[in-house]
Amino acid sequence: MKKNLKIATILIVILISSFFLWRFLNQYLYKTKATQETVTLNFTQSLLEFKQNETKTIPFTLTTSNNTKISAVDLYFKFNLQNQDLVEYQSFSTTPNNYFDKVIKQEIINSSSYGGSKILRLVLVSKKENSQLLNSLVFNLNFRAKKRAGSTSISLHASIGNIQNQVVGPIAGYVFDLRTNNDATNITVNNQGYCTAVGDCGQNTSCQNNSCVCNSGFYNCDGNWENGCESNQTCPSQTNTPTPTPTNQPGSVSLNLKLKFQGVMREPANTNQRTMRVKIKVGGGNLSSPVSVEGNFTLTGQKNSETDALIWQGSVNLPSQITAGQHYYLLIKGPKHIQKKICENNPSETTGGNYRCRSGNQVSLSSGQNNLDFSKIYFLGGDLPINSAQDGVVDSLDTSFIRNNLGKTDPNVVAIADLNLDGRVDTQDWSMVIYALSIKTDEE
Amino acid sequence: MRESKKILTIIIFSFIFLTVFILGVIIFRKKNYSSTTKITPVISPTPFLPQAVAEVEIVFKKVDDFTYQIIASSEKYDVVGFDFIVESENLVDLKDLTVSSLLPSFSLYSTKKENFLILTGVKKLNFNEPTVFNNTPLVELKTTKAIKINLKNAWGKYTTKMVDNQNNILKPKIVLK
Repeated sequence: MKKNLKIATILIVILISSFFLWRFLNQYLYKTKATQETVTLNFTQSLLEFKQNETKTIPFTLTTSNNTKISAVDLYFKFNLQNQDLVEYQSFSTTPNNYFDKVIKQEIINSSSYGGSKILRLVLVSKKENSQLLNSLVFNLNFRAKKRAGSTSISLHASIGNIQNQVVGPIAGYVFDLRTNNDATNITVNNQGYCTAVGDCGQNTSCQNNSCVCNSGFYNCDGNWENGCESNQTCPSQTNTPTPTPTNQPGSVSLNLKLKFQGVMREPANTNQRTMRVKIKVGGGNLSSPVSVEGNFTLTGQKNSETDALIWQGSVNLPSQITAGQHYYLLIKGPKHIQKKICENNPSETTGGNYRCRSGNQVSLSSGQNNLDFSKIYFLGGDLPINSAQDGVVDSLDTSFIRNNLGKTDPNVVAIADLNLDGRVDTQDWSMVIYALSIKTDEE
Repeated sequence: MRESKKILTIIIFSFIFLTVFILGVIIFRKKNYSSTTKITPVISPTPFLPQAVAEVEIVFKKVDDFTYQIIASSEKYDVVGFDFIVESENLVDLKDLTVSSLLPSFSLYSTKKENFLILTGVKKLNFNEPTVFNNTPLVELKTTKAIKINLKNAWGKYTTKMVDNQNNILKPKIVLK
């Protein structure tokens, strides 16, 4: 009897152990690859030429077989092989926009492989419902060329060791068999320099029509704009010919603007937030309707006073319809901001954001560079680029987007709703959008 | 007595073995997981992009000759903001119009543009309880004289809508009473 009890107890223990063993193995064992389903990665451009300091987009596609949908990716890309320091990663986007709701990882890893290289890792997850998922996506990787000439490539890193590229299907554990068609885009950084502001091109230079040019009597003999036009002697070889001295097209008008955006009191948390894309419309003068241009504005680190916001600077060339000697008004709109109408060359205001154009068309533009200092007035934030577009109005969608994302640091959300560029959506952004409700709409 | 002690010892040892085994599996699994970082997609009905998810009833009610109310329902959606476009028959009438929020949890901001009054309601940050409307009076408009005003779906860039806590847009089905 006692012996039977002992055997029964041991059997029960073995049974319980087996149950837990089965349960844990079942829970933690990885699901098998759906080897019959493949996804093909294809770099759509085999060769791209950059100017130095220029940002370009490198597209690639992911397409699955049998229309199976993509819900997440974990991809590694290698670039700057052999310790080249030619390009740097800026950001990515997808078509359709914001397909991936969560950016789990977006990091650059220094690798010793390929004689020293950089690896970009992207781990992205879409939380959309199955019906909204797609079987084909376009990715755009934005890279900026450094200020030196050379050649490199950007390609998918092989899955080896800890580096395991994955594309995941619509259900947990469904991993595609990843294949490549064109697995690389070759990059050539030529000896021309791209610029948007004074100071982008190094010493003894200026920025004309977004191109670096040497000042008269100086030459860029080494072909790199990092050190500008370093020589005051003509270059010895034909390959290093001096860049021509700047010349403006006769009668052409360009603007060199200083702007000040509400809330940006210190250097942004993220270095890629140091540049803003600003829309500029010019109206009045001889124009029947306003013409628009866009330009990149970069932080200068300067302030008008200790308690003031930082000043941004950028240059744009105006279309040929705009002629010198006429009086115009300008409409300036930041990427998360309300459009402001400006009618003076050097406007100012008594209270932040209360400047209004009351004097008609009074911005007089002359031929060549026009230095306009708009840093004594604030450009108010509030018209958020929700759905990748601004609608010209500050409304409940803008306020709700900030309210619903308070405390978040997700790069996708920060790119839309972080008005003060501190890397987080917070109550300061909330206060700014509430303040903007009093202005409500773009000035026209 | 001796036999039962033996059984107890076997049971205790078996449980210790089981615990060690389970811990081993968990630790092994965690280590392995972090080195390969398998991604498991999370599929949830919380879209990132604002979408018009529902049509909800918004009633523009004339209480008396001098008082109007905007009354809304939001089905199951937790509303955190709204915009209402009120049109006046003539520009002068808007001067006599005052608006107030009927909900303590919402702040109301109004802007007058031509003969339109654009109202934006914003849920206050210190209110965290869900606000699901069910024929709930949201806004009261009062005048000092009898005027003709209407709630509009849209005017120019402005639209009447409600937005929920997932950035979903609730489109209005306006009912005039």
